Amino acid sequence: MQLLAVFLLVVLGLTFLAVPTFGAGWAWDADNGLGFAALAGLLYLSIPGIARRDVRAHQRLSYAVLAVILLHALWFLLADPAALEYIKPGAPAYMWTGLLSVLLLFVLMMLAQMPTRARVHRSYGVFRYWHRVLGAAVVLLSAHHVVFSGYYLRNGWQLAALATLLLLVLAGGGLWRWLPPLRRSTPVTLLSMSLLAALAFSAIRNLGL
Amino acid sequence: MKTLLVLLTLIVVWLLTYGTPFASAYPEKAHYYGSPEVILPMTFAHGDHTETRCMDCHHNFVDDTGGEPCMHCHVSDTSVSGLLEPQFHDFCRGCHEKEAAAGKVSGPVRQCIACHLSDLRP
Repeated sequence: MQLLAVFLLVVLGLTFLAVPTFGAGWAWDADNGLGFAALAGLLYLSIPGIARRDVRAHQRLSYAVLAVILLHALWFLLADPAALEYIKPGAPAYMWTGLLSVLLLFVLMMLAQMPTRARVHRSYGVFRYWHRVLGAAVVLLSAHHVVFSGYYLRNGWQLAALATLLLLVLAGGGLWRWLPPLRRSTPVTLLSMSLLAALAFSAIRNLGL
Repeated sequence: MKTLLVLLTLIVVWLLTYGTPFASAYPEKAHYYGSPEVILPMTFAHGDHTETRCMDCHHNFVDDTGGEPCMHCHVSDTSVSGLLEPQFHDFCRGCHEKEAAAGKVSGPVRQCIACHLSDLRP
């Protein structure tokens, strides 16, 4: 749980490194806060070795991250009638990468379910390899969606910090062995923390806290 | 959690199919400004931009690139029409963002529907 909180703080904190009180409206900022929380959740799930500590918790948390992503989409579609036009043919590439990352996450989760996992993969090693490859693709597609939709990450050094974080998580390998035993996060904790983080994100930007 | 996921997915699919029930107006794609392609409407009022220099937007006043209304070239000239979305997002929204970042009253910076409605004002 502590590590999840750290990831939420780091990912959302990155956006505050430039013009922290720059808001786009309460609903818009809260929704984007949910998007950043989802990215933090994806990175948390991608930490090398964390899934092996508790596979069941990893699986349950992935449902919660998918729920945060769906809430992010749902909120936009509810609040802005023009948003629908941005997921139709002709939409900018960053919207397609966002959509593709959700679909890929869904496929990834389906392929990890037994008995499908055993049917599709020759061995556990093959499954683990492809699970990490597809997981990295989901994170990179999401990062493209976040970066190229612009607005919150405006400076080169913010992008460099995000790239470093992605690199540490996706290619850090042994760097994460130092992690002490963690208190397991539950899906309800992840959902609540994501909602709270999104509200705080919006409040700071719109109240000038 | 699985029930929540199914419920959220169904709501998203419903919204994708029928749109939001909370909208007072929906943008309608059409051949605006003589565009050969259907595009989203855009709203703009000169009255909201009285503190902006004319030439900041009307570059054709000084670079002699035509005397038609702005949108005419930007939707029909194939050398720029493909860039309509990024160019206008960068230009209009970029200016609004600079104003907002400076703590001034600005136009919309992100909400799509704030700009993408038919232009009813002068």
